[in-house]
Amino acid sequence: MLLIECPHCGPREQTEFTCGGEGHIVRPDPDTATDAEWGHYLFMRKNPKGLHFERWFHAHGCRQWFHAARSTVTHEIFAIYGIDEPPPAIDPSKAGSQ
Amino acid sequence: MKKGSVCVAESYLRQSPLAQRALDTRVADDTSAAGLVLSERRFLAQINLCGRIDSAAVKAAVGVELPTKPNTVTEGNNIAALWLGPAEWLLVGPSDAEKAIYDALVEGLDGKSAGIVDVTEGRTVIRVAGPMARDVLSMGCPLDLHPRVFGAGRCAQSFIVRSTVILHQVDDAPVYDIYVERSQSDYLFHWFETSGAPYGVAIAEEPATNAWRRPPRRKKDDEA
Ligand SMILES: [Zn+2]
Repeated sequence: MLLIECPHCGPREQTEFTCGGEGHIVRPDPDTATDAEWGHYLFMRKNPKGLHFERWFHAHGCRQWFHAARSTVTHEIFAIYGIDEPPPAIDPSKAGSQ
Repeated sequence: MKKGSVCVAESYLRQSPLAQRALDTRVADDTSAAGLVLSERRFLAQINLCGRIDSAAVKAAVGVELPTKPNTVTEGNNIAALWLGPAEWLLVGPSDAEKAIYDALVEGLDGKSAGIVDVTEGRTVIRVAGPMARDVLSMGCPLDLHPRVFGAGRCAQSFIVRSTVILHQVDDAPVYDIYVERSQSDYLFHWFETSGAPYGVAIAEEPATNAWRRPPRRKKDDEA
């Protein structure tokens, strides 16, 4: 069980949250994107071993989205940041990245 | 939405979702020996407010200021304003005041961006008190309710044994008001009764509420 620090509510149990998957995926312009680009946007994810920047939703709390930088190896959370903020600089080797 | 088109249930059809528990027939003469003291606060007026709300206009319209600090409650004019999100609040008033509070908000926030919804019929409120209240709650709720973290004037949304709730600590005694959806309220009340049984459970009388009175209206410039 993770203890996740909601930017508004503070530390809450993981069961209150929903994970929204990989963050910072840029939506291509549907008028100009090729089928390959659109397919990549919809379906392709990095699924890394180690450092992962992902979106979380405080579904059973304040119902706000935010970002987390989490290790998929150790579950350690290195940073919590706003849904409109760019990913912070984190040494990937600290998160078990290879 | 057309102004004033809110649907309010007719009061003669109203029944508490805990009605079949006949709590008023089980009220204990003396609750001092019980570890857990339960009661229901029926039909409290509940208005959900969302958007970038002009707090001063709310204060002028209904007499309570909106809390800006997350998970806190402000009180004024017999209304409690619970913080639900950075742009969402629940205003709770005495029973049968929902129409009047709703109308006052619609008028007071006229021309401003706001979502105002009467959600009175959606939930009932279980008041949980007694010396073991915190311990029993902690068995089913993931919130940290320790007094150094959570005290009177705090609220939080979470769940208790999988039921979505809004929890408001009313008093440091401790006393909690648990807002629970109608359909889950009987399950949750039953859970409180069985979980509190080892410590002794008593049913208390429904807490009294004071009437809400609309603040005097300020004259608009064009009326002066
Ligand atoms: Zn939150």
